[in-house]
Amino acid sequence: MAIEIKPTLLSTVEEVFETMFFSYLDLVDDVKSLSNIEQNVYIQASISLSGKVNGDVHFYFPESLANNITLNFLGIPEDELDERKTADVLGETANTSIGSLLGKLDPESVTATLGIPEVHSPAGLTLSSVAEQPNIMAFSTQHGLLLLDYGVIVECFAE
Amino acid sequence: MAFNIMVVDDSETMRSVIKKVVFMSGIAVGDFHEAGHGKEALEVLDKAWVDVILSDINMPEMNGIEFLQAIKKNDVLSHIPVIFITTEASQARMDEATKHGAAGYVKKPFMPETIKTVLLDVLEKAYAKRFLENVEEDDGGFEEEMDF
Repeated sequence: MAIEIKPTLLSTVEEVFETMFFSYLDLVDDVKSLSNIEQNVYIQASISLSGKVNGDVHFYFPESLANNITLNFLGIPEDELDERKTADVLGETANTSIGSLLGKLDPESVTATLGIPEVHSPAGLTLSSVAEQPNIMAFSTQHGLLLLDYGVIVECFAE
Repeated sequence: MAFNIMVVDDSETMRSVIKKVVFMSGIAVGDFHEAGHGKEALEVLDKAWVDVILSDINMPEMNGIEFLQAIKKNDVLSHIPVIFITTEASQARMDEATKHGAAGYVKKPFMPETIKTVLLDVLEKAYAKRFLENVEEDDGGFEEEMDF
């Protein structure tokens, strides 16, 4: 295909974090080499793609990062933070990131359309199992490791 | 007379962010309405006079394009300019929105200044005389005032 997925996804997610949250991400080159993946509480924000392939793109936010970007985005004091606001911002992050990506990969909107984002904290989620998936992008942040499972995008845009 | 504005987005958080941008843009805002999707927005329009609408596209119940089509079919509402604020960044989707009568669009992620520019441009085109009476001169400090 004309546009490579991984660098386009990387630049798109970086742009979203810089524009929405004034937050900068460091890409971790080899996710599987991370032996000390944090066992923090993680919040999962997913957005569905439908079209050539149906499935979800998943973002895994450490709780501390989720809270930090929510405070940054809304410009509110910490005592006004609640689960609904955090879920809204994480859903919007997933929606904006993958919506922007589709605009670049699929400018004619013929391959896939976006669903409505969903946010939850899966019980028993361990990042080590997520990191073993084949198409994972990881970002180091001062609030922990952000993981992105984009396998469905790879399937969707495979030639 | 100030402008009555409505924001349509399924995210309450996004509505509050857009509301903050609108109130800091120098436009005299009268009534400010919010709706979570197109159907709810049509219910608001049944009861209230709105001068301009800022709407998402990707929403449950009734999406932004369906909402725009419903407005344009209604003789009483069809003059209201609709600006899309959306991640649906593909040219095809924007062309479709323009074909159905969208007055403008802002791509997410957005800088607050971008919403202000598009909103002012649309209001000026739609309501030239009122626009001059209801928009403060730009003091150049907009971005510094935003805290997100």
